[in-house]
Amino acid sequence: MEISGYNFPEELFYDPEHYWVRVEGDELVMGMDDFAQKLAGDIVFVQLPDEGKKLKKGKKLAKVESGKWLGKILSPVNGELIAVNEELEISPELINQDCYGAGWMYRLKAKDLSELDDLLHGAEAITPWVEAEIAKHATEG
Amino acid sequence: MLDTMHLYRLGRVSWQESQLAYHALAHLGREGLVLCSPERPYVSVGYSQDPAQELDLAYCAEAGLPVFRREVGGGAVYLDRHQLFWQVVLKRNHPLVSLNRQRFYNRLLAPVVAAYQDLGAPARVAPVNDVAVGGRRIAGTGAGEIGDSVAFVGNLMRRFDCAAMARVLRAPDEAFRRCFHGHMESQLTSLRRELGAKREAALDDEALYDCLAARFAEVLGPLEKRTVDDELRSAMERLGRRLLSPEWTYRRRKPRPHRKVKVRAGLFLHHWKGQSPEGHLEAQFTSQDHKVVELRLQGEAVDLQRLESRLLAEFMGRDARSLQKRLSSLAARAKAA
Repeated sequence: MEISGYNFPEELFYDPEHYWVRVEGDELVMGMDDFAQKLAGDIVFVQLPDEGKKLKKGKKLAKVESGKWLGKILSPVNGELIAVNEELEISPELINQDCYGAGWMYRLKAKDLSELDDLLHGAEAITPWVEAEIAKHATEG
Repeated sequence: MLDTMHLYRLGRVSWQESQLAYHALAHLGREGLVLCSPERPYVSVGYSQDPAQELDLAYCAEAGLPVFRREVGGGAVYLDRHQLFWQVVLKRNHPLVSLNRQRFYNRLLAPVVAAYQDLGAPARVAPVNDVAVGGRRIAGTGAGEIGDSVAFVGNLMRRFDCAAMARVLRAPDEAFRRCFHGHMESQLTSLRRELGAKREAALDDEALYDCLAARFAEVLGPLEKRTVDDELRSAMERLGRRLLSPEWTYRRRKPRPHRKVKVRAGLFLHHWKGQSPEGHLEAQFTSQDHKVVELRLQGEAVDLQRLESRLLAEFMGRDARSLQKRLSSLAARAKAA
């Protein structure tokens, strides 16, 4: 679904830090959402930690750099990192080109999938959140 | 109403302290403004950079130039005492911190721009986060989320040694280094260049710090002077053990075929290295506002000049990314063959 020019697929779960999560069987795939990648500008670096890294919900998973801003990526769940998108090592711009597809970032194994309930899901939750974020961050001032 | 912000006016400090103080504040979650300059020259690289790919490490060692990898973004930079550092540390949830990075930079660079103007240099923000005078860069900056804080750092440039900067950079050949040096000389400026050597030399570092502190107070709120206390000192020592270690500094990164070196906002020098169907190929090109403005090829192609002319005709004045794609497709064809 499109919200004021930003693409937010309705079937995905969204972390308030602007990362999306897709459920694939008992695994999770995550990446940066369209709003964040547009505001960030050219992504120049994505940290790809070792597989097997233990993840703590809300704690640092990795770092990402754009427009000379080095930001943190926080884990949306407790669990383990099981794969990274190796393509991003050479082509971090894939996030700008296709943030929900070729620009995916990490594959995770959640300790408890019910933690997804804490994320934003469904048009009723996503739309007001994105509209508030646009008002807060995307306007000039 | 903003809380009182702490001001750490450290003045001339060791090169290590000139980096560790703001890192330590950020890790401690203590907000503040640090003003300092290093007592000796050194080189700092961005968090995501591999010093072995960005710097001529043999030269740095020979010249006695230490290398520091910061927890902040941006590129490699030569630093010395003629640059007065300003380093702002805010909590991640501070009202000035926005996901809209341009807004953040505009707000936090306003004091720097005003300080340059106070001193007689008509500076302005050059998006994303440079400060420029008459189109020439006069300050580079970088930001990073450290702990639960955001650090935004940059400098007030009294003088900038372009030759030293060009020398510490890793260059595929001397032509690349000369080209980079030439761009730096023409595209960078400093207080010395803007005001003249006599006026710049007459400026006292303390007066410049006064000016910066006054202007930052307009944005950050009242500044209360602090010194390096025991908590900060021990955090710096603790962090130093990690951030000054060779394991941290010289962390390797997979080499990428395309390297881009910034001269100023919108002006980049590129180097691409790979295989073409006819053998090894290297391309050096300059982009200005994303458009190719210079291109030079080297390599083993039988008719290198013809290939260069063809690429020039096709890509001169066009998007640099399309040239990159063409070079990547040459490499893909070579791989397939």
